[in-house]
Amino acid sequence: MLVALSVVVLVLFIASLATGHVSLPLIRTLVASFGDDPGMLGLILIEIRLPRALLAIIVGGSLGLAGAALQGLLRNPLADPGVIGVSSSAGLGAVLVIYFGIAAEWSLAVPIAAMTGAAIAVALLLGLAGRDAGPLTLILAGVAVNAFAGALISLALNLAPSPYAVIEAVFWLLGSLADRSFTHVWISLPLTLVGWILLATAARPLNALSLGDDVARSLGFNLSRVRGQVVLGAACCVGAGVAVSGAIGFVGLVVPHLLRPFVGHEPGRLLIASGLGGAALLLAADMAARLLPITHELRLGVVTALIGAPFFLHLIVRTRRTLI
Amino acid sequence: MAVRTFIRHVVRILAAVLFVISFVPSGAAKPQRVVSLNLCTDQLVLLLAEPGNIAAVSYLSQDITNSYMAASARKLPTTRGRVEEILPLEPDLIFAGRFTSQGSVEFLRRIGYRIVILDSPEDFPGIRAQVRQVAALLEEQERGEALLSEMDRRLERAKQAASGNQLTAAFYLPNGYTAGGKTPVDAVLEIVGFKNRVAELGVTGTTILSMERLIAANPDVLILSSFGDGGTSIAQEMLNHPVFAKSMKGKTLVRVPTRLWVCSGPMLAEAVELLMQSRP
Amino acid sequence: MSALAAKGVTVSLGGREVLDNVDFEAKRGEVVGLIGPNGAGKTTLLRVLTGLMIPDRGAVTLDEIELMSIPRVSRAKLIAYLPADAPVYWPLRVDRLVALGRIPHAGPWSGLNEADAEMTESAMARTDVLDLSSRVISSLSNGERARVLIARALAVEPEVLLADEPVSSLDPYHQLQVMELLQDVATDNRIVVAVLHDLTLAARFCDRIVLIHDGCIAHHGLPEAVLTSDIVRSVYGVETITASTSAGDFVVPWRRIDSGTHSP
Repeated sequence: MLVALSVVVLVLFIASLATGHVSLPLIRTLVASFGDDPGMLGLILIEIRLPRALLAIIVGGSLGLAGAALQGLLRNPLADPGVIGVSSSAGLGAVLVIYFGIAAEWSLAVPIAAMTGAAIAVALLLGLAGRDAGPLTLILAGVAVNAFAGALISLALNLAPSPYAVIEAVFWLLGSLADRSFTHVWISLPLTLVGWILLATAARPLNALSLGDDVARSLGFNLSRVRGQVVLGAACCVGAGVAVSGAIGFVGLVVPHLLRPFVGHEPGRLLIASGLGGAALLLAADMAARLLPITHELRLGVVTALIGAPFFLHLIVRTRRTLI
Repeated sequence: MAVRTFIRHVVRILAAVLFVISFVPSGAAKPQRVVSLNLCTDQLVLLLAEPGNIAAVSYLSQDITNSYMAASARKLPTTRGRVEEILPLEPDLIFAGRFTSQGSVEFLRRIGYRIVILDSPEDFPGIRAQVRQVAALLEEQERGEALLSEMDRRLERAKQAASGNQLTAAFYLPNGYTAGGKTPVDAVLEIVGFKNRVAELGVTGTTILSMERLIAANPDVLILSSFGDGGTSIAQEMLNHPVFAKSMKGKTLVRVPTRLWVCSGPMLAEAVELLMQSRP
Repeated sequence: MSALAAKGVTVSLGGREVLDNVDFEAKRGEVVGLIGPNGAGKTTLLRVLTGLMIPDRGAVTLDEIELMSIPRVSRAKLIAYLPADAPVYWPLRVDRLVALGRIPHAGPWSGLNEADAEMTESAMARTDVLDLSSRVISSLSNGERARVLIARALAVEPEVLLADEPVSSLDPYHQLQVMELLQDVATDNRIVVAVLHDLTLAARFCDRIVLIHDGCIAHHGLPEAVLTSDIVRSVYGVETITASTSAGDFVVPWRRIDSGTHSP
C-alpha cells in the first residue's frame, strides 16, 4: 500500500507542476529549464511552481504524520494538529517573530519559534486532557487552545508596526502556499526532517501503547521518553510547516482516519502511510485552490476545511455514543 | 450745537473705521486648526499648510514606509479617525478621502464641521487641480503654485531626457497589486517613456495579478516597491521572491520606495526622477 | 534456588499504606497463587514485581540481581505482565496483537522474522485462539479476548509470567485450560505468579499460595496449609464447606458471616 500511495503522490506532484495561472507545456519547459536559458516559463516552473509543490509535500506530509502520531499517543482518533490547537499555536510563535523584527536577523528563527509554540500547545494538551482522555475532553481542550492562540495572533498583528499585518491574519489562520519560494523550502526543511525522524522511530512504542500504559512499559518502553519524542517530533514538523504556510487544518484528521482500516488500525504502521496520504491530499487541495475560477486564489486552509469539517462532523456522529 | 457736530464726526469716523475693518479678512477665514483623516490628504496638508495651523493628521502618515512626509508628520498629533478624537481638536477644516469611514464623516458634517472629500487623481492634470483646490482652501495659494512649478520643472526635465525607445515596464506592489491603465502609476510611466506592460494586458485600474502572469508578461523593466524600516510582513517578503531577481537578469529591476507612489500627488515627481536614473 | 524475590517491600499510595514490609519469594518451576480480599494489595505487589512500580522501601531481585539494575529492554524479555481488565485501544487483528509480545526480542532496525512468527503461532495455539487469528479483537467475546491477551504475554517467552486475574472472565472449560497452561509454563523452568479469586483453582493448580491481607503477608505455604476453613473465615469473613475428593479436600466459600439468615 505504501507503494500505491507513493505513486499517487508522484502523480499529483507532476500534476501540480502543470497547474497554475499560465499555461505551461510541461515537458518542453522542464527540458528547457535544464539548459542555459530557461526562459520565463522555465523560471515560473522552477522558482514558483516547484517550491510550491515541494512545500505541499513537506507540509502535507508533516500534518498527516503528526496527526497519526498524536492519535497513536493520545489513543484518540480525533487528535489532529489543527483541531487540538497545535497549528494555531505554531502560527502564534511565527507571527511574534516575523512581525516584531526578529526574523529579519535570522530566518531560521521563524520555524524555531513556531516549533516552540507547537510544543507548548501539545504539552499543555497532554496536561489538560491527561493520558487517557476521552474524546470530549480532548476536543474541549483543543477548542480552548485554538481560541486562545487565535486571539493572541490577532492581538499581535494589531500591535505590529507593519501596515499589512492585520490583513495577514488571514494567511496565518487559513494558510496558503501561494508565491512561496525555495527560501521557504530551505527554511522549513531541517526541522521538518528532524520531526519526521523522531516520529517515524516512534512506530513501535505507539503499537505497544495500544495495549495500555502498563503493558507498553512491560514491553520495555520508557513512556515519558516516548511521549517526549512524539511531542517534540510533532512540534518540529508541524511548526516548520506552519512557519511557511500558515495554519492548515484537518489534514491530520481526515488522512489517518481514511487509511487506518488499510493498516489494520496499527498506529505504528499508520505513520508513514499517513505522511504520504497527507502529502497527496495537500497537493490535490492546492491544485483545487488554483483551478477554481475566481480572481483571488482560494486559501488552502479553506479548501481543507471544506473537505475536513463535514468529515469531522460525520466522525462525531459516528462516535456519538462513545463521546462521553 | 457743537456737541451734535462732534457726535456726527465721531459717528462718521467710527463708520469709516468699521467700513475699513470689514475688509480685513477675519481670523476665521484662514483655517488654523486643520485636521486630515487620510494618508494621502495628509501629504497635501503637510506640504502646503503651516505646521502651526495643523491640528492633527492620521496616524498612518507617521509611518516612514508609506508616508512621504513622515518626518513632518512625526512632529504633529495624530488620530485614528475616530470622532471622539476629532471633536476635542475643534477643527475648522477637515480633509478626508473617499473611503474614510462614512459614519464618522456624516456625523461630523451633521454637527456642522466643514469637511472636504478628496478623490485620488488619476493623472498629473488631476494632481495639479487638486493641489490648487487644497491650497485655496488652506489660503496658501502661493505655496501651492511654488509646489506645482517645482513638480512641473522636474517632470519637464524628465520628459526631455526620455528618449524614443519604448521599453515595457510593470509595477508590482505588495500583495500582488499592479497598476493598469488610467492610474497615476500609468501617468508616471508615460512621462518616463515606458510602456505600461500591465495596461497592454488590458488591465485598467489597480487589481491583483498573480506572480506567474507577471513573469510570463516579461516586461523589460520591473518596478517593485522597497521598504524602509517599516516593520516586516509577508506582503513585503513576497517582493523579495528570488524569481524576480532571476527573471530580470539582463534587464532592469528597480525598487522604488513605497512612499513615493502610494499617494497620487507631487511626490510622484520624485518617483519619476528615480525611474529616470534607472533607465538602461 | 529462589529466582524472583521481594524483600521488605513497602508502598504507600495516596497517603494510604498499601503494602507493609512484604517479603515474597517464588522459585523456578513454581506456580505461585496470590490471593486475598479485594483491596488487599495483590495488584500492587504484582506491579512491584514487574518493575512497573518502585516501592518506597525494599527491593525486588531476580536470580539475586536487583531488578531495577537490569536494563529496561532486557527486563522486558525476562518478565511478561498481564494486567487485569487490560484495555485494547484499537481494533487490532488478533495475530498482530499477539505478535506485539515479540517486541522486546526485535532488533532496533529489524522487523519481526520467521522465528517470531513461529513463537506467535505457538502462543496462540497454547491458548486455543488459532482459529481466531484473523479476527479483530473488538469482535471477540470476553473469554476469547482474555485468551488472546494471555497469548500475547506468552509470546514474550518470558522467564517470569505475572498474571493478574487471568481466568476471571473465562468459562469452566477455558479456566481449566488456562490453569493447566500456567502449570505447563512453570515446568519449563520458569516462574508463574497469578492473582486468583477462585480458591479451588488456586488450591488445585498452585504449588504455593501467598495470602495477602491489609497489605501484609498473612499466610504463605502449601495450599492445604493456607486454604483452611479457619484462615479463610478470618481473612475473607466467610463460612466454608469442605468438599472431599479423591484428589484431596477443598474448602469452598459458602456463606457470608455477617449475613444472618441465608439458606445453608
